[in-house]
Amino acid sequence: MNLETLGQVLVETEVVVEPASVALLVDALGTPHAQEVALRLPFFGPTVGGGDSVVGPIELSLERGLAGGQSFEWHRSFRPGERVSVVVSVEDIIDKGTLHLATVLSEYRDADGELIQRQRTVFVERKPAGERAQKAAADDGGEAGEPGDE
Amino acid sequence: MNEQRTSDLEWTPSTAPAVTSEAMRSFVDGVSDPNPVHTDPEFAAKAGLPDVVVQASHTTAIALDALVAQFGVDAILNLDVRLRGPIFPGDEVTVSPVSFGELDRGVELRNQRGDVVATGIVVMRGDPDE
Repeated sequence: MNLETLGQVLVETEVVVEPASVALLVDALGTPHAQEVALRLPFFGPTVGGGDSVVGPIELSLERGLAGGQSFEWHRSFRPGERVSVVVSVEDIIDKGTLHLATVLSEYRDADGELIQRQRTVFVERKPAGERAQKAAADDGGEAGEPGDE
Repeated sequence: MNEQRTSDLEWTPSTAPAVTSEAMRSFVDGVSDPNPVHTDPEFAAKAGLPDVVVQASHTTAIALDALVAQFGVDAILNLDVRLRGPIFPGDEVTVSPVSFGELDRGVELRNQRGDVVATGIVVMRGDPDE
């Protein structure tokens, strides 16, 4: 990961809450309340500006990284068809032993600037095997960790 | 709007419909996530996984769906989910209430094998920490 991206705004754009996308989420859930749920999370912040808009700058390896958590602060649901602004930034990015951790913050606002939602996604990336071995040696024989061990 | 304290309500565990490969594909298409770890078994294998895994927001959606079914969408203000294990195609996830402390209201997601795949803290309307 690129630790120098701390605090950087990676995406600042407008997006439309596409009914077709919401329908896909409803289909995926297949429950009586799926529509209400889908309108609470129709966007994934790290991909809202395009697939590589966050993964690229923070240099997240998809083969060594996974989402470790996600949090939402809801002020209201999205409305189908509405246009919203979104700002995606790197709230935190740290080196933690054999891992890199990054928190990506996404804030969605309506046309009046009112906050709709704050969404945070934490990515956990294992360092390459060589770096993990070096870290283990530096720790005087400590074992390399895996996501979930933290 | 639901103004009741959830601690005063019955909250029963609920099991979501089994996650299918088609549902996983629909979800990642819906949120435009191109990460092949959710759709390509070969890529998942390179990442050390036995199969494709459910997208993060999909896991959150399963937890939220259970909460919405029991309390209504407007009652839920915050949800903080920690992913603790992968959800694979065919998995049936049960969402249950758990306690992490006096003020924190927790949810726990387990697969049909009993493995914890996620835990979460939810803040409801009317909670002291709202």
